[in-house]
Amino acid sequence: MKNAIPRYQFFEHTGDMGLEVFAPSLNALFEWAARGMTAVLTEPAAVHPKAERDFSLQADQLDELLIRWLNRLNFEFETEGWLFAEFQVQVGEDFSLHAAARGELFDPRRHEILREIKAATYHQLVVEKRNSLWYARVIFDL
Amino acid sequence: MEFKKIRDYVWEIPREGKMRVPGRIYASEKMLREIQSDESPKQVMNVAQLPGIVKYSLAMPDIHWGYGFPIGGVAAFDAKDGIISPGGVGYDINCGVRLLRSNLTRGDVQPKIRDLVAAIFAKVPSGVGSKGPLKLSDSDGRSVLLKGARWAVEKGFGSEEDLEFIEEHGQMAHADPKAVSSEAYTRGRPQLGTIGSGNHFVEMDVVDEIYDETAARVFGLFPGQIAVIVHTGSRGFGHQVCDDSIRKMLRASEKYGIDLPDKQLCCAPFQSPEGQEYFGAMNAAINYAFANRQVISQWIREAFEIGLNLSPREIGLQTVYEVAHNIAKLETHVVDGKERELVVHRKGATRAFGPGHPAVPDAYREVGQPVLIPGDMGRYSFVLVGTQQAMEETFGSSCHGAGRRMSRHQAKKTAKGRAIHRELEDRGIYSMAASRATMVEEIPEAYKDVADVVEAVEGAGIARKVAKLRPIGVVKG
Repeated sequence: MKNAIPRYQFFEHTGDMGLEVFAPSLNALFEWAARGMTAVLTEPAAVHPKAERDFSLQADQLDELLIRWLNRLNFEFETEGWLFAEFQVQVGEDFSLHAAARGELFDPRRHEILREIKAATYHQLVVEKRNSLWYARVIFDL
Repeated sequence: MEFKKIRDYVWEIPREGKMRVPGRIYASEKMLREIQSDESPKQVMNVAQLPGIVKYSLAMPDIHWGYGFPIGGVAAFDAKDGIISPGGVGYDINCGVRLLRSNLTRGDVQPKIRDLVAAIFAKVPSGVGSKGPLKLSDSDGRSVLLKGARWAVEKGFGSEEDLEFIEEHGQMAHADPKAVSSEAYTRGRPQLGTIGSGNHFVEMDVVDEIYDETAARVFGLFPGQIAVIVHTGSRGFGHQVCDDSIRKMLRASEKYGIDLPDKQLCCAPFQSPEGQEYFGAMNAAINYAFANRQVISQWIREAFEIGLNLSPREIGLQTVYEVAHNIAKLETHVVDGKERELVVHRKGATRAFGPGHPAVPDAYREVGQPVLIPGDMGRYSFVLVGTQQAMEETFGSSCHGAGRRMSRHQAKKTAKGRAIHRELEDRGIYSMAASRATMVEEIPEAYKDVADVVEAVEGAGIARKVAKLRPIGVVKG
């Protein structure tokens, strides 16, 4: 399973949207969760990795770190218009995160914004290793 | 899961496991079947486990699966030894509804509805991350958080009279701008005076039917009259306050040894420093939302002048009432014959105070508080009035809207290949939206029929129908 391809999929939620992510490593799990969130906001293929932003975050628990990470990216979109396509994430054992995200600023001629994310929530939040794969489950409040 | 019938429209989930009180769901038999198909009854049971909960963990008929509390949930906690929970209010703090009435009738507006909708679309920014033309200084930003709608009136948006007809007069006490992060300011500052997206909207309606002539007369409503509904909240400001607070409350829950059935239900004793800090920040966000709707209401008045080419006096747009439906408030209620101070959480539920309550505006006190229930964008909305029974059973609370029944994915599938804009037009509703995606996910059938929701609250006696409104124009995000 070491060579498994990371992926994400959405699951049904009455009011909002749920995201499940599977990845061979914890770093890839955080990278693909972020890709999944971009797909909640817009069509990911239309986002070009033109510029890079760095992030350093800290949390008290691993699952809380994932929510901090996703909500930080949403903050960047909402305040400055950043949409990201590619991610390189390093998650530390002390629940720290160092990441480089590549993307571009929202361009209304090329990007359709599909929905507004209020936040990634802690409801039924899961981040865990299942056999050899890392798994995450996040519900977004839209 | 067991549902015990208490009487028509009232069902009890008996206490079990770690539940401190039973759950109570207000719904018709038909609705209950639908409610059982998602996770919301489980969420009612989770809320029943929180410390200091009084009487019942309640759910209104528009209940559906939320995150933490169910949407449509009401829970009151003792102010001395109970908790306060950001998950019991939600991210869109003080999301709410204002109803404006006018001097106009359908005949005055229908021929110019396109101009009017376009004027509102141009005047009131809407859509994802929408930013407004207001330029707030630092001191304005602080003032918004302390004064709410009063700030907007002092800046020339609307009049003192509006304030009389807003829940809490549009200004919560105990707001603490120092409890708010710089990120919340950064998110909120450019968004004041914006609708946002999703289920938020501005809608032009015709008063279609009157059920209670006395209450309708008192609220200034008559058949054929044009009215406007505004539905929005505290935008990114409130979202950030909630996110910041949950992070702190996760630690507070550990500190105070509170056993959480779901992390989103994290909380702290209301009297603790953490509880009071959240209360201060939440009240600041409540005031932001009050200011937001006050500013928007004034722009709608201006858009009516542009779109219809009439004077403000001829148009006569006046606030009927404004309610909050995501909120936690310190209220006094009679429990088992004794007055108690409670922290009442309404997550997708509306305050519905009955006749005679001092919090109801003087002009309405004899009949009770108006309760505003928007439906989906294609059918109808309702004006209800609060009852004494709601005071006795639901901490003076009722439903807040139609409640979703379809996921966004299902809605998108259902709407595939359809021109929603044209379908609405065929039903006599002219619409403009910042995004096609929003229209698709918000199709009318994605929601429960709000008439069923209203029938259930009226059947249970926790609100009474006053009027039905039909949309003729909609502006969406």
